[in-house]
Amino acid sequence: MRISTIEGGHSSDRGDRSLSLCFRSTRVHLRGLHTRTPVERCTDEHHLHFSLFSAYTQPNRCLAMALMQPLLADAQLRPVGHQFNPYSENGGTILAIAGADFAVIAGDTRQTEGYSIQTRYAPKVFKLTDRAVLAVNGFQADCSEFVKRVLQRIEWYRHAHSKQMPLKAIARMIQTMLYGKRFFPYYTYNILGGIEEDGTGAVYSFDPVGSYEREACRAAGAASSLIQPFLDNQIYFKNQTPAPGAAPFVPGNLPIDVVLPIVIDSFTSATERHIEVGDGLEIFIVLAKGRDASQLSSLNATEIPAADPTGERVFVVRRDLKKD
Amino acid sequence: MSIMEYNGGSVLAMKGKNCVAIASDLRLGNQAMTVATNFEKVFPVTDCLYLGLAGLASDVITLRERFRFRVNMYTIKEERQIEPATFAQLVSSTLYEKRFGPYFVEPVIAGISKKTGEPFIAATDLIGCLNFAKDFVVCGTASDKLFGVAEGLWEPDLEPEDLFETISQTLMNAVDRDAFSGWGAIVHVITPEKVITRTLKARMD
Amino acid sequence: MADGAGSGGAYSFSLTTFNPSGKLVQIEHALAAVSQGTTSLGIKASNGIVIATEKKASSILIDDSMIEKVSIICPNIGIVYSGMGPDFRVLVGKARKSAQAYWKMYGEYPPAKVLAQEIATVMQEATQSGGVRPFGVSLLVAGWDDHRGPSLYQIDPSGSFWAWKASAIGKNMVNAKTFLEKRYHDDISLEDAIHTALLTLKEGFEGQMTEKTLEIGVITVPQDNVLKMKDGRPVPTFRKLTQEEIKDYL
Repeated sequence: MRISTIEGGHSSDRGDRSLSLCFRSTRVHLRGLHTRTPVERCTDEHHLHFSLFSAYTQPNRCLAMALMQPLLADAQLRPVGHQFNPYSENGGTILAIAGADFAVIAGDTRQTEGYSIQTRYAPKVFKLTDRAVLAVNGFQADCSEFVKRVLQRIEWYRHAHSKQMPLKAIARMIQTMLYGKRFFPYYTYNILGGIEEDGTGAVYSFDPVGSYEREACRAAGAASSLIQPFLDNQIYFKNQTPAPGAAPFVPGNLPIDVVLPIVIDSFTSATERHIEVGDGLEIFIVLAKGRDASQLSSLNATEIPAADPTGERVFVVRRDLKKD
Repeated sequence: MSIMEYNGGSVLAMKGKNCVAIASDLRLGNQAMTVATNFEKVFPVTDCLYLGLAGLASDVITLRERFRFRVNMYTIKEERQIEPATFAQLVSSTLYEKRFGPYFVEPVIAGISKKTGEPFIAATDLIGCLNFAKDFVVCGTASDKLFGVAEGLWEPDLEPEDLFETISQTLMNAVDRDAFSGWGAIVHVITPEKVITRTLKARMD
Repeated sequence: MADGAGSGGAYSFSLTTFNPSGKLVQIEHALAAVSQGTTSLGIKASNGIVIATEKKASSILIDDSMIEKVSIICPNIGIVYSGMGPDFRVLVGKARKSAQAYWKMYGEYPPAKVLAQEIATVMQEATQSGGVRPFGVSLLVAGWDDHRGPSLYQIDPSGSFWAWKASAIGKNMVNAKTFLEKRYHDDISLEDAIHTALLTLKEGFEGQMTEKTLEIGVITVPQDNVLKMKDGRPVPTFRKLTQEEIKDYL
């Protein structure tokens, strides 16, 4: 963004002060002149800074400085600018798969910034209600904040309506909440999984500004590009044809003992090839009302106590992933 | 926009039991515009050694010819066919010759040693850093997707037909999620006796 | 001067011009230089190759530990010469460089034939270039590779080269070859070949044949005819015998 594109700038005291704050005041030797100069900068960043936060411009001064540029070529004279970036990216990956009467929502537990591992256990998957689980990934601070607000809104709903919020209502609410911050978004990729009111397993996936869709499966986060095509193949049966005479494939109908190994394989694969994925794996399993849970016993699944013991049940499986 | 993504395209090779497979998509693009859907990126070097080149299409063709020249010279001078491992070194040194003005390609090598019968795969980056993998190697614009799917589908000691299924499924599902790759695919399965080449019926969008 | 440069007759105004009978006299002269050199020989055995030469210092005051007539080119190739020592040294340098260039390109050392061809090309160029003279040496190149196995080549100043089962070059070449023809058979072992080599050299040896006046190099064919690697490097198939080892053979 160039300052010359912004029309109608004029000088003010406030502007001068903020300028001198930005620049190192340096004793300058220029062609025999001895001037104590608050050196003004003409880089793009700088103008972005001003146009964003002070909406203040100074075309004349900038022109003067542009003429002085060759004289300011000396590295010492170059001012240092700082810009605050309110976002970060904390790695990790999440996925969810829907079955006929269950949903599986999983995420790894590594949290990174750049090439550093901040923690090996930062949960990304949260139980919202007895039938809804939310996985969040992206910028960790926004993730925590967003989950906190979602939980709060769900509690208000329970107080207002004396019932747990239905899954598709949560999905729409998340949409509204995300879009509500359309111009300063939560940097979060959300995947909501659970059981619909008709008892079917469901997965909803969101982009950071609230565009959402119900799907049979979805991967998001750092290793989404590794996992999603694998899920396309294994869950949506993409590029596969049933044997002659065999029944056609129906996505979203796989039994849980097929789905869980796919989830685990997805994460071990992603851990193998992506540096931001690993350490631990948390798999949440939401079972529809009355569904048999015996298939989970071999996985060492623990049940999270439900508000309504006769309704849907949520289990969690915790596993290790490689830590290197 | 990276020059490596200018024309798009991906290549992948996998090891099996006494066999190897190498496959590529068929797209040739000009940035987002698809120009051709019959642009093969895998070329025979000897009767049991193939070379795949993903990257800038003009460099793909240039290098194909350069390697053809070098391998022909080798064959005549040494009165023998080049071995996969030797060819991999040749690829590496040819690319490193241009260390500071590189060819914008990532080669993949797949073959079976005439001498030992051992399957061999390797890949290098654009300046010739060799990667001898024991499972699979990938390159091109869909490489991250290829890594993900291959890591999930590949298993050791696949027979030729199973290896064909594995490499085909890996390639197709990966390139379907990549805007710069796809529009058909071709697979070569190399066994000591013969090479099976198949063109896949894939999504054309 | 009416006949061009120098005074060697009508056809010696250029070193690289044929005379009317179709000869390049400088090559003939180079061969003459070779036949003044000490005798060298090579014998290919069933499980290896031996190359050997007489090492003769022109004065007893010379430290003969400095003289090297059998040279290692790369782990699988060694060469010996008859003729002019300095010319040999130049060729050894070029051959070693060529072997390393090959290694850089292909990650392995050249087969003996390829290296022999490289050297032969260098020697041929000296017969066709301006301002140079032919190399005054003949070479015996012994090498092993997994393509052709053990192989022995002779290269002459003209740049021509042939493969031999056994050959000799230098002063006593004719007698030595006749001797080898009588002694050689296809299934000779390396041990026997070394003894035969010494016996052959003994004919026409000037002075005493000791471990100090001999140089011997051997190719040993590796087990199963496959190149062995140790610590990522090829295990050498060519090596020079130590003075102690030579002494044991005498």
